Amino acid sequence: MNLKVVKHWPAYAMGVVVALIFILATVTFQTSETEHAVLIHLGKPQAEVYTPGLHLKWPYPIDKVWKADRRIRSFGGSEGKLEETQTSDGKNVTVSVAINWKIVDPITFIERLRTVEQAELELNALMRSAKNAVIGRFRLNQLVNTDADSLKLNEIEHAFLRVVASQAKNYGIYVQSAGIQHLGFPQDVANSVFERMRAERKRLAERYLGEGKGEADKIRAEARTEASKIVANAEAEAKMIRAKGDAEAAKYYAVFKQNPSLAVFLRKLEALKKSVGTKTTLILDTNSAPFDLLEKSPISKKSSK
Amino acid sequence: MSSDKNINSGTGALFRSLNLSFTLLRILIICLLIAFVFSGSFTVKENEQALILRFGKIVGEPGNQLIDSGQWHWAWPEPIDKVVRIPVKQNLRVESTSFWFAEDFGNQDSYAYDDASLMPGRDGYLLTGDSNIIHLKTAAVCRIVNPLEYYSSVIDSDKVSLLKSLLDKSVQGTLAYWQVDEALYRNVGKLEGELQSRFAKELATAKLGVEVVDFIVESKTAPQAVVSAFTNVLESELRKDTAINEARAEAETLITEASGKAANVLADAELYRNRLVSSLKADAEYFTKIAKQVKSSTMTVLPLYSSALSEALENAGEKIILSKPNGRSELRLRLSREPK
Repeated sequence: MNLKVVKHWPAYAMGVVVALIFILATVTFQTSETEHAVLIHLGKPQAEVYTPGLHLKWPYPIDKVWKADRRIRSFGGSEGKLEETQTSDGKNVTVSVAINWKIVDPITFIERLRTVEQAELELNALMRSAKNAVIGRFRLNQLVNTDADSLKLNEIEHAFLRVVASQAKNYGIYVQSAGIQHLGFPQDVANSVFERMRAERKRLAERYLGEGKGEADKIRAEARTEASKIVANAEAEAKMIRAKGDAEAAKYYAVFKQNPSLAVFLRKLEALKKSVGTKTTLILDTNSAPFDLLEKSPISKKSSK
Repeated sequence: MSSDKNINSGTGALFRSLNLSFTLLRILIICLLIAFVFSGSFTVKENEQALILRFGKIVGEPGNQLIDSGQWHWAWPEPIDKVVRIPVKQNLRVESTSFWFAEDFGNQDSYAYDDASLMPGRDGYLLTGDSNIIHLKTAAVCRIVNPLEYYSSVIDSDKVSLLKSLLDKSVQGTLAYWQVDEALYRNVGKLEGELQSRFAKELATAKLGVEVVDFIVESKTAPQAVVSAFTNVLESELRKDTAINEARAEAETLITEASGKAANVLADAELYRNRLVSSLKADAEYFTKIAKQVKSSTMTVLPLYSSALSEALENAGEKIILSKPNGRSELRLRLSREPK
């Protein structure tokens, strides 16, 4: 017999391996780092939540293993996403909110919900009611405002998170964060926003044209003033220069005082030279020098005598 | 006897064939064992890091659990070990089209988005800080910086949707205080910067092991219903700029001309001053010389007088000398004889 076993060890080994694998597969289960695992013994969830590793269990159908990912899930809501919500100042808006959640208490989760789909249905309901309650406490200008300090989006998100998280806790769910995904207006309001936008654009276009003209006129007027100023300043400076010239010239005038009649005579000579040009017609009589010679020739006088 | 012989030979053949079968089975089992052992060897690609999960538990001490590329590694085949590969150097592109309108113009049955209204749930849009409506399409490029955090933070199927959700939140949160003109035309670069910074903050808060490396506003527009009104504003702005630029050019010309005129005025004044001073200086020197000569002899002035008279008479175009024998004479002149 022993000889037979030794001789046919591969067949026996194969059989043992297959049997072992089968037995192990039915009485063990693995839990991953990213999973929660709970044993459901004869349909009743057990209190123990298994850590990552290999664990023992009774074969099916005595024990069933319930597993769910323990990591964060993103949920943007489904029904009611486009529902109108009213702000505290009576404005209708549409607000979409998303949450990030994870299962932290798998026993409670199994007892209350069991599946992720069921959890999302519950969360959706929580989100809808929380959204209406929270948005109703804020004004529209706290949702959108050009003054960033007046915005209350963070406060809204925190308030929303507090409401949803406190209720989701009852389902073994931890809501890590919440965020406003979209702010909008209902369709009819959006159409009236378009009307307002058109009117605003028209006003803006007209304002730009007016500003352009005004600014251009201002620039031209300023330039004219500046130009006049430049010329006036130059003229004033020119006057100063001329005055300086006159002052400098004055010391030379003093020289002429030595012999005023000579100075006048020389000036006259200078004036005579300058004033008589090629197109000048000189009308003189024979009394003027040197034409007096024409009448009073010393030679003719002497001969007549 | 012969039948015994036949049985013996048949048993022998069966024994031999069974022997052969068991030998082959042995070889097969050994081959399977070798294959089993070698099937656990693996490499990690250059742009990846990997984790080994043994019975679901991460193998290795904390801080030493990630396997890098560049060498052979070994793990038990599944279900004992599982190799999780994380694309660490690969960029993750996340797009936000939630605020863009439906562009299916070709389909006759579909709603054509040019009739002034937005269909909720189909046409996305954003509210700006000044309560206007715009469309915006953005994209972010992200990189995994903490592979372990990336693996363990979010479920695999929701990784992209979570990133997209954070991106949408960042876009809406930022545009909620931006003015429509700033976002659409004037300050797109600044908007991109603010969006990237807000998205980076959201990623850091969410602890996803991911950081943003680039952010792009891919498209932006005013709603079709009001786009022409926006175009008119742009045109008006352009005309405003043109008017101002023209005025500036004119002003510059005016100032340049005035400066030129001023320079001329100053130059004339300088010329006057220089001419006056130098002329008087020369005259004074001349006068001093002449005065000296006149002091010695009054006849000195006679040549000057004659010379000046000669010059004047030479220059004069016409000379009329009147003789007055009776002391009375009449001269008639036609004025303005020169043609104009």
